[in-house]
Amino acid sequence: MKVLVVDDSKAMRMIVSRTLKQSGIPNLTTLEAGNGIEGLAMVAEHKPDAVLSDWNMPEMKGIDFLKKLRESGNETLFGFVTSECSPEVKKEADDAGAAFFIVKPFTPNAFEAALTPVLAR
Amino acid sequence: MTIDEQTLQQVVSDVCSGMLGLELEPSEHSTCDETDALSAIVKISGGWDSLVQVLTPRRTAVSIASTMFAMSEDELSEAEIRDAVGEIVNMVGGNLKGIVDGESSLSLPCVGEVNGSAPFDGSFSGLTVSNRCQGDPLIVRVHDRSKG
Repeated sequence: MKVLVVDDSKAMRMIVSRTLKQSGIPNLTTLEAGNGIEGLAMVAEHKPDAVLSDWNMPEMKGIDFLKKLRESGNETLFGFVTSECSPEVKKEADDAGAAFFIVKPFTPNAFEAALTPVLAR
Repeated sequence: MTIDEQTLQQVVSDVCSGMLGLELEPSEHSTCDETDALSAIVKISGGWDSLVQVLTPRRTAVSIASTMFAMSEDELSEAEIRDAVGEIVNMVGGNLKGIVDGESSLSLPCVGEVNGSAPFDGSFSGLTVSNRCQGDPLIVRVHDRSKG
């Protein structure tokens, strides 16, 4: 399974990638991007099975990244991993087509639960 | 809901201990009396207008970054050290924003070097939680700007 991790914080990209590995997802490969613009390019080039994106990023925010992706007809499973956890933000994510919302701080179990639907396909 | 000291401490503990595996011990220190400290701030705007600051000596920031990046301290770049402290304040600020009532937005973290308690001076009247992280102060402050 190929997962693209998008976050402007290199530390957080590493922690998310590490936690994904700890969650026990088989055959996992992670890719990284620093913002939504890089994320769009990485999705086009590498065609990941899932995208895990931060919400608050410079250049292009996570929600705009998701909207651009959907506008282009791409339906890759997309979830947010963010410290933003207000109901308004969650609703905006849902409305734009996000499949899940993982709030920092998180556990490996949160990733496993969120990505299980993909593994079941 | 409003933020009190207990809630702030819980959020700080969840982020630092629960997720990052850093050991925190509550401390009486309310300032960081260091000439070489790092300050990371996020601004929350909207329904709840506030500033959230993480303040810690540089050596603690280096140690935290080493844990977060799983790298030895001498391998870390300045950008990585600042990134680590910035991500802590980002997580704390984001969680606090989710607790209070009303719609607000969270800024990107701003990380810089400070001397002592800057940018809040001695008249600071907001919330402060003080911990020791690996023996050194790790102070988190919340300044509700609607209260002056």
